[in-house]
Amino acid sequence: MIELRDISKRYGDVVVYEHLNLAFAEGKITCILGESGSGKTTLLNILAGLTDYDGELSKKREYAYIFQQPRLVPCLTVRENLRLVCKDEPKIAEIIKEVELEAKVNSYPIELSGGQAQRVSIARAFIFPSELLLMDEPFASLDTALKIRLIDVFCKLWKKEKKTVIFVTHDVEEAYMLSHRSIILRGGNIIADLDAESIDVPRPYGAASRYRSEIVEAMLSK
Amino acid sequence: MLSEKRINFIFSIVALVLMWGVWVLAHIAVKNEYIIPSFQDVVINIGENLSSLQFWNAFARTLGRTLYAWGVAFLCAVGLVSIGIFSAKFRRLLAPFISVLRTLPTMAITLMLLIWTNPRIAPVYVTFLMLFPLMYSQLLTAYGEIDPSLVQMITVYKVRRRDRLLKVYIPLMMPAVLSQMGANLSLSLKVMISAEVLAGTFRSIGGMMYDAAMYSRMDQMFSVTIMMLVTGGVLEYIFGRLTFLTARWRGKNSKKRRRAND
Repeated sequence: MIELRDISKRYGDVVVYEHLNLAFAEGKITCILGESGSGKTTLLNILAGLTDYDGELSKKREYAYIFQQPRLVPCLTVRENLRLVCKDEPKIAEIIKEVELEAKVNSYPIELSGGQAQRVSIARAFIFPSELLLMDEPFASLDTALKIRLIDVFCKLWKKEKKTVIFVTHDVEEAYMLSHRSIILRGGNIIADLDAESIDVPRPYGAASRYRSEIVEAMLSK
Repeated sequence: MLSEKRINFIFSIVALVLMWGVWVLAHIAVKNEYIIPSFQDVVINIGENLSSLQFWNAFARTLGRTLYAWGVAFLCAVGLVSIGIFSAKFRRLLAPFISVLRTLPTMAITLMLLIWTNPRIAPVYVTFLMLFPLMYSQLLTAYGEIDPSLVQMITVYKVRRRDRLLKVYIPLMMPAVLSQMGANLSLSLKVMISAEVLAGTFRSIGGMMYDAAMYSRMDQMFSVTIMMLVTGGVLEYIFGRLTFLTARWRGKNSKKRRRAND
């Protein structure tokens, strides 16, 4: 269990969190939803230790991070970018195959499309030896078709390792497709904490899904 | 429609012709070979120099000293910036030294070095002292231009220091460094010759210029100056071309660039 105990965070006079308590189950995907400025990314940064805060974090652990932009090193090829975080060559070869980038292994980031670059970024997060995976709106800048393909790639990789994932998004569909649990934030407060019955939701999914409806209702509530 | 490259070339030729015209006119107006030599005399002197072993000996020594001073300055700058990347304290400690080095008067330092060393070595030190702070600042600026989000990424993924330096920072700094390399080398040749003139270095281009001034041989002075201008230009061009090494990953090589559609 990853626990945040009595966390407070402010930027100058702006209070982001005041005495926040939250726990994340191991081996599950938890989605943090909320509008812009609701403190989603700040929560990830607290978990990653990228920002200072008051309060207690249960245990500092190794984590991988998938950013909104792929953040690949431009002067390194796909393989070299992966080699930067993992020296295990067979593992690199395997993950390249998993994300279907064998043909692009010697390409530089500038020679990749947005979707291919984000696939490398997902692969990098999965080969990095860590139990925790933090994701900050990694599908936000992609079109719907590409987003669904990448979510499939993500699901395939996640099912092999079942890392603990904390996933920030403002997209209900992403939360619906991926999460075991959805936490909805507003003004630094948790306004809803919803559990999905299973990750294997039927596809194609419709607006009739109870879990989806619950997320949408919570997001729209005043 | 002419390309920008071609327009620049045409303007360079026009500028050269203009300079040549000013020279010819000045020669006609002054009518004194000891002040402004004729174009023909200088061309003849260039030919004589090109076939003279003494000139090539001096040229090789000056160029060797220049490359040596430039190389040492470059290695020192890379080494100290590499330490500075990982230690802000070291960077802050070094900053005043760099400022002092940058403002040191060339003349004063040359004269001091002549007392402490000899005319053969002093120009190397002068060139090093002139180039090192410049290269250090250029490298530090290039480091400052690295995308902070990439720096955050490699911090998050705990990339080893050696890999950060050799696979990320230095390669990312290379385009800026390579683009300035030619100009730095050309500048170091200029500084080296000035220091050789001041030091009166034996068997050197600076020494040849000093002798030409002493014996009022303006044709020799002009011809050596032109030859050094050409040398500086050639060095600047050759090293300027080195940016091709980073062209592919910067997307500057349009033929190899492949933007795939997912």
